[in-house]
Amino acid sequence: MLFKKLAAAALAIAAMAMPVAAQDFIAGIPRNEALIIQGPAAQNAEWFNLWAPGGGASTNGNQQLTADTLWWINPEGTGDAAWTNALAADKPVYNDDFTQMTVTLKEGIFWSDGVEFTADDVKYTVDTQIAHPGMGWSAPFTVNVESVEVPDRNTVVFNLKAPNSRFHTLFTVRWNAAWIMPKHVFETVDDPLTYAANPPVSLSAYVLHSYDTAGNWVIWKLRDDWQRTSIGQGLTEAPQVKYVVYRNAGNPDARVIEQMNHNLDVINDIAPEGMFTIARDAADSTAYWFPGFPFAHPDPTLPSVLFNHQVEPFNNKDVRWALALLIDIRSVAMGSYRGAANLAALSTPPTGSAITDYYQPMQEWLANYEVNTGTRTIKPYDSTTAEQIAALVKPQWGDQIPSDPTQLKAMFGEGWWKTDAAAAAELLQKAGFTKSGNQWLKPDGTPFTIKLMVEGDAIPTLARAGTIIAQQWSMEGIQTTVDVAGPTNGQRLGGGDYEAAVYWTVETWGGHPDLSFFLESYHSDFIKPAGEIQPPRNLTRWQDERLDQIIEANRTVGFDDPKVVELGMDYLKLAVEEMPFIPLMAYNKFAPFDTTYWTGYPSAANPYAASGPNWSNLRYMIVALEANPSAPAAQ
Amino acid sequence: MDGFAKYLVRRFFQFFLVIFLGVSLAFLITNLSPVDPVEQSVSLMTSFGATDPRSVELMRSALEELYGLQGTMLDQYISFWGRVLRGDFGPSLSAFPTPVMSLIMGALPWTIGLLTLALVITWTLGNLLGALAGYYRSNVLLKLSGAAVMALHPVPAYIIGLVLLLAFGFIWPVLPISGGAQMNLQPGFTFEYIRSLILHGTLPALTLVLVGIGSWFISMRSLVSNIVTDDHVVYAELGGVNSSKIFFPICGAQCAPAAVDGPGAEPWQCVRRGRDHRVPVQLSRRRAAADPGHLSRRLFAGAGGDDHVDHLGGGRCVHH
Repeated sequence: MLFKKLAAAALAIAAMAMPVAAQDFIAGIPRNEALIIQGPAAQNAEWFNLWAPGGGASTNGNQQLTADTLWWINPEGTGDAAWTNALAADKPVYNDDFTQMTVTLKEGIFWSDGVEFTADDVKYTVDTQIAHPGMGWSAPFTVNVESVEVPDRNTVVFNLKAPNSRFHTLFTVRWNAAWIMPKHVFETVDDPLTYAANPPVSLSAYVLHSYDTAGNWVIWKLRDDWQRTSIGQGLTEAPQVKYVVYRNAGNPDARVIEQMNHNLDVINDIAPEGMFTIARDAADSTAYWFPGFPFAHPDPTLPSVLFNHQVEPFNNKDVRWALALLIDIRSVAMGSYRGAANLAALSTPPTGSAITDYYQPMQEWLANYEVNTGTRTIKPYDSTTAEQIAALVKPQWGDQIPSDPTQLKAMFGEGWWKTDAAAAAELLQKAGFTKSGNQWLKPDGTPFTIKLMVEGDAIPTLARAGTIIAQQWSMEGIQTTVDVAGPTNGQRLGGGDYEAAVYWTVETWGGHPDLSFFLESYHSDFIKPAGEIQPPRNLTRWQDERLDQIIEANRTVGFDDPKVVELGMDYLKLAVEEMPFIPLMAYNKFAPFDTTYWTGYPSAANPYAASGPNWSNLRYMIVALEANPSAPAAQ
Repeated sequence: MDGFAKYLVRRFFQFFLVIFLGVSLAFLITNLSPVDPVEQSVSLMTSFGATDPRSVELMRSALEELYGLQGTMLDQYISFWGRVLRGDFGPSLSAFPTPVMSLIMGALPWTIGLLTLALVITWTLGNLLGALAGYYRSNVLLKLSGAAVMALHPVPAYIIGLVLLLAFGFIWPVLPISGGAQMNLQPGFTFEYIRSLILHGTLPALTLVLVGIGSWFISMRSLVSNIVTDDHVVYAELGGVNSSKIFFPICGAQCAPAAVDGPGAEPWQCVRRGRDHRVPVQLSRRRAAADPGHLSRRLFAGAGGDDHVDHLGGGRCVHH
């Protein structure tokens, strides 16, 4: 019959296309020599110029593997171990009034095309960008640098326009920094802004091998002369990872599938549910930041409830404190991260050196901290939050949850504020609010309602946190609606077009106690009137003379001065007193590693490098990985 | 003016009106949207490093100049039309300074390739099955396939995409779930490359086919089931003519013209289907207009379901 013939023909055609599984994952490259990392879907895949507008934010491996600059801070590290002298031979040397910085460079470092790296490259990097407004680091160089001198090939002297004890941070990588330009390449180019730099000349251990013009993958190869790089000079043996593949591995669900199929070794982030699936079904072939629950790796970023201080009544600290006391942080942790959140009561991310520099030393102060509600004083701090969350997640995770409070604090944070509706009511009354039925009225008699902005799908954990907080406030008589900003989130925050929002306005070095990374931009000099765009950080437009004094004092002390920590604590205490925003937790990322081919990934126990593939710091992980001896043989 | 000329003039007028309104709307929406390419670039550059507010101000003004965003809205509207007519959209603001046209041209072959393939398969299979089902009304297999096709028809593409992804990427992992071809494979008319293209294209094409096949199936089946009751068909059957000799003339000569009328609109149905499920149109200001490659890629990606966005990728493989 005709239909049967047609069906048979269709089956035959399908059968011809089926022999699929036997194919290598990457043509011509042995799987056991390649590390596969989650990369972006690049829009302009043929662009490798890191110094053009936006070029410095690329996450396709270009800056992660080929760029280099003077110093690095490991965002997960603590103390001296977190600091790396890369192209510089030593730490920066300032003169007494911080108007001059001298840098000595290492010798024997070469670009991948065989040209030696010298002080001229550093000077060229600064001069060229000042001459071309719009290049990535043009503006900060223009603001700071009077002139650059090169007394000899290994020495660079920066003469600054004004004292700046943090000038070196422009060349210090946390996520990225001002990468050094190859002078010998760019001086032959007409316009450094429109030069594609394809193929890029590498100053680090890997070099471009091949890429997809549609932007789905880029493959980087270990340089033959990897020893002649700053990272190579620190190694005794050749890195075992010969190829690094940055590939677009699809949406979070697809990433989970790809990792379980062993086609994606390093994930940047997935949803908690995806993480739990991997931990349940692929425990033997994966590794995580924590060996078990909560798995996640905390970025030095501080998701918080931000208030717009230019909008009434959020300029009133009693109102802000009342809203903080109406939050049940356990529900927020469970609802946003399924409990896998690292909570923060202080206004700095609970990661890296902040734990030993700030969180642990300040526990006693926090425990004794008193809030005057207008009718009485309360001690709002609860140092047992970690144990309470452990009790909530124990039914699901059982023995993975330790009982030692110290271990629990490392997993879930040191503590947070107690939920205290009575104290919150007293604070609102102190601020002139009245309650009518179950609705709080503002001093002018109108209902107190809040629009709480969240970004939405892009960061589902924070959107969930916002929804739960909105519910909690609403139940206590402050009608709160969640406002999903989507792609306009950043601009609405910058322009002050919000009342309250769940986002972050504090990021730190992670591996260093200095808070200038965000604090410098908190000075009242930089606060814009409502409607104008506020420079990044200080999105709440918090203004306080005491804050200005701390910032000004921090400018005059050196980066490694012990006073830095004292000033940091002053800021943290002020932020507790004023509650300019309500810190919630670290920005936890679920970044599982596949151990089928590679082992030795960083972890909470051995945080020798950042674990997110977007962080340039990842290169220190890549060169340290070891091939798994029981990996499947090369095909 | 005779009827046809009138008709032609009217259609041309409509055609230009639609283009004019479309381009104007694209300009207006992207300009009035609060998303600003300068702010996007500034936030890209300041997201990850220390940010001195004075530097940010300087950066902002430098980028405004570089991106050519000065002038009144009317000036910009006029120059925008100029760029549309010349087919030169200048540099992309989201991927500065790569020309917009090269971004479009990079994405277009994949868009056209996958859509055309999916359309051809959908149309052929849908019409064939529909015609067979209309003619052999008592065949159980055809009844079942009709039920399956119609059950799939109203399901949103992204759900079909996700189910296929799980089925063939995870439960029975025989098909690649992302990419346009095997990584590091040199494109060309080689057996290896074409096989890889087909394998990588199977899941996204299948998603489009499964979702799109229903409408062809239904319309063809009803056409054929009307015709089979016509006198000449009944006469032929009674006369003992072989069923395949009746089927092809009916399908070919009588129904195909009606079916051919449709494919012109079909790609837009795919696009519409994609849009139905929140295509992430993250338009930078002016991007939709200045950078339609991006938009078409996203829309098109949507047609295959978000989960298949990555299928669409591919492109040349450049070695160094």
